[in-house]
Amino acid sequence: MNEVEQLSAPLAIVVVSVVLVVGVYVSSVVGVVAFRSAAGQPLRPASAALFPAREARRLSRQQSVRTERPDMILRVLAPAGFLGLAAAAVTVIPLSPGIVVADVGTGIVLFGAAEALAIVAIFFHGWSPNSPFALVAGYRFVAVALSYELLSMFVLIGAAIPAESLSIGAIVESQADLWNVIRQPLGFPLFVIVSLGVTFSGPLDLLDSNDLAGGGSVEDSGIQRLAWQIARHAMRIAFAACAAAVFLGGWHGPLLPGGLWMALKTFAVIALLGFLDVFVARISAERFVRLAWGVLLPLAFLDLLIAGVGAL
Amino acid sequence: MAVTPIEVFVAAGADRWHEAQALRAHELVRLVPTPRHATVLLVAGTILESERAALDRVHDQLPHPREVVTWDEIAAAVDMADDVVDAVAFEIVGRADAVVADPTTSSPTRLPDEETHEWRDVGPFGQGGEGMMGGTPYGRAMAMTADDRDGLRLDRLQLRLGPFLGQLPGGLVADVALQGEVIQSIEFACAGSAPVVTGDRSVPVARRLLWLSHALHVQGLDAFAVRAARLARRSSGVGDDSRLASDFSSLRRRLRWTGLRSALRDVGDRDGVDTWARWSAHLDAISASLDGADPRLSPAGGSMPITAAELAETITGLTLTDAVSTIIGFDIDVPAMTTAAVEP
Amino acid sequence: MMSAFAAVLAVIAVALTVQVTALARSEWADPFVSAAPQRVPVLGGHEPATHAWSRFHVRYYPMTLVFVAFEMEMMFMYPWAVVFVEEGAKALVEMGMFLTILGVGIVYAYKERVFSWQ
Repeated sequence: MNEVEQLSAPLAIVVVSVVLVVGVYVSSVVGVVAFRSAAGQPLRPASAALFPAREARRLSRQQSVRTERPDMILRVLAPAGFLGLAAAAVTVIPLSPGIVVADVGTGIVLFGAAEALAIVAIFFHGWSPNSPFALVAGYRFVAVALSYELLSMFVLIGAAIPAESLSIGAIVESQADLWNVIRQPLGFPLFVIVSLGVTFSGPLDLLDSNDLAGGGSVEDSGIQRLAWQIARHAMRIAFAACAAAVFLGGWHGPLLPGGLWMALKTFAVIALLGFLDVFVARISAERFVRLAWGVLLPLAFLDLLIAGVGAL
Repeated sequence: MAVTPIEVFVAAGADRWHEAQALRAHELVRLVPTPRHATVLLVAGTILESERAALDRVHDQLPHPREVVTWDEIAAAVDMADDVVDAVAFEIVGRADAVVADPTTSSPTRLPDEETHEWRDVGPFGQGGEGMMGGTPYGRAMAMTADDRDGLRLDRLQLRLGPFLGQLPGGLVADVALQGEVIQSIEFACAGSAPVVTGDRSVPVARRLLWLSHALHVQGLDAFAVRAARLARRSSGVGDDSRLASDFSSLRRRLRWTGLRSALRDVGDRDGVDTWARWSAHLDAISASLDGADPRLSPAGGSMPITAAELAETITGLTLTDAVSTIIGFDIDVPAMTTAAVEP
Repeated sequence: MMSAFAAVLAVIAVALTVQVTALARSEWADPFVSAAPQRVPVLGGHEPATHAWSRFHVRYYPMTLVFVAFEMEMMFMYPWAVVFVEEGAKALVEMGMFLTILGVGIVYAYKERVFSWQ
C-alpha cells in the first residue's frame, strides 16, 4: 500500500493547474491534428502546435457580444462552473504512485457528483443567452446527459468491486496484475461513450451542434467562447485521466516512472476522444436515449455481473 | 500558413448559396454555423428586397472586429470563373487581417441603434409593472400557451427561421411553431404548390457534391465536408480531376464508418423513403455520373419531387433536430420556391 | 480527510475565480459595447417574436423520473460495492434482484413510449 501524502491546498492548486493547462493545450492540438487528418489536409505539425495559442489570442481580442435579455449571472457561471467541476474531478485521480491531489476515500462519488453537476452547468450555458437555438440545444442535451449518467456510475462501480473501495487510488492498485479493460471488457467502451457525452463531442454533440446554428454556443463570441472551449477540454482531460486510471491500469507499467505512464495513457484516451469527435456523425437525442436505456444500460448491468463474478 | 483560419459566415442568396459552400475546401477559411463566431461576413448572390433587412441584422450580429466581403464584386473582377473561390478566399484573408490589425475600421452597425422592444414598466392604465405579469415586461412578449397533447397547455415558441442560417439552404424562410423540441407547425414562406426538390433533375455533379459538403457539415462531419468540397472544386475544373471517381468512392467508404446510416435511418419517413434512402440516392447519382462518360452532368435519380406543402407536412411532428436533417436530405431548390412566391 | 476536501474546495474556488475574472473583463469592461441591433438573438435574420424563455415542454420528463429511481439505487450500490467481496455471492444475488425489479420498470417504460417523444 503506497503511502499517499495529502497535498496542501496551495500545492493542490498548482498541480491541478499544471495538469489542466498542459492537458487543455494538448487536447486542442490533438483536435486540430484529428481534423486535418480526417479532412485530408497536410498536417503541418508546427502550425498545429501553435494553433491553440493563436486561437486564444484571436478570441481574446474579439468582442463578447451580449444578447438582449440574458441571465448574466448564469452566463458567467456556466463556463466557470464547468471548469471548476472539471478541476474537482481531476483532484481525485491518482497522477502517480504517490500523488493524489485529494485522497478522499470516496473518489468515485466525488467524480460522479462533478459529472452530474456538469449537466447543470451545461444547461445554464444553453439557458442563459435567452436565444431559441441555445435553449432547445440545452434541453435536448439534458435528455442525453441523464441517459449516460447512469452508464458512467454503473461502470465505475463495477471497477470498484474488485478494489473493495470507492477511492480511485485503490482501484488503480487493484489493477496491479490485470487491467480492468481486460477484466471488465465492457467498461472501457461504455466509459468512452460517457466521455463523449459529457464533452458533447462526436456522436453526442447535441449541445454545440451545427444543425442548430451552433446550439448552446450560438451567441458565444470572444472570451465567452474561449472560456467555454477551455472548460470543455478540461472536462475531457478529467475523463481521460479517469479512464486511464480506472480501466487502463493508471500508473502501472514497466520501465518508465508511474507518472509518465499515467500521462501516456491519458494522452492515448485524449487522442481516442479527439478522433471520435471528428470521425463519427451526430445521432439525434431521442435515438441516443432509446439506445442508452434499451441497449447500453443492459450492457452496463452485464458489466456489473462480470465484475461481481470475477471478484468472487 | 502562419495564421489560424479566418472564420466566415456565409449569407448567400438562393442562386449562389451552393457555390459559396466550395469555400470549405480552402484551408485559410473556415465556414462557421453562426454569425457570432465569424470575423467576416460573405455576402453572395442576389439579395432580394425582402431579405435586405435580414441581411443587415445578420451583419450587425457579427462581433467586432468584422468585415464584409461581397462575392459578386470579386467575381466581376476575376477573369475565369474557376478562380473565383480562390480570389474570394484571398480577399477574405486580406480584409480580415486588416481589420484585426486596426479594429477601428470594423464595419459599423447598419440598423438604427435603438431597442425595438423597450422595457416598459407601468403603463398608463396600470398594466405592466414588476416581474413578468402583464404588459411587455423586459422588452419582448412572452410565449403564449397553446394546447399540447395529453391535455397539457404549454408555451409555444413561434420562430421565423430566416433566410441566412448556416444549417438551412440560403434564402429559405420558415415559420416554425415549437412546443418543447417538437415542431407543431411549419410553413415555408413561398407558394405551397411549387415543386422544390432537385433530386429528379439533372444538375452538374459539382452542385451535388456541394450539397454533400453542406449536408455533412450539418450532420457534424466537418472534416468530411472539407473533402467533399475539394472534390466539388476538382469536378468543376479546378485542380486534378483524373481520379475523381476513385476518390469519391473512397470518401463514400469512409462515410460508412461514421455511423451516418444509423443516424439517418427512419428519420423523416415519407412513403417508406427515409432520409438515409435519399442520401443514398444522391450518392449513387454522383457515383454514376463520375463513373460515366460525362463527368459534368448527373443523371436523373434521387428523390421524387415534392411540393413545399408536402415537405412541411413531412416535417410536422418531428423534433427540430430531425426536421433539419430531413430538410437537408432533400436537395432543395430554393430559387424554385422563391420564384413561385412571385407568381401565385 | 478534511484536508483532502479542503484541497478540492480550494481547487474549485481557484478555477471559478480564474474563469469569472476573465469573463468579467469581457462582460463588464469590454472596449466594444454591444449595439442594440447586435444583441438580437441569432435566428437567421429576423427578430424573435417572443423571449426564448418559456414553459418548454420537456418531453422526456417521464424518463427523468425513471432516472431518479435508478439514482437512488445507485446510492445503495456505492456501499454495496465496497463490501461486496466480503459478502460473497449473497450480495450478488441481492443486487441482482434489486436491478431486476428496476429492470422491469424500464421494460414497462419502453412499452409506454417514455423514451421516444415524437
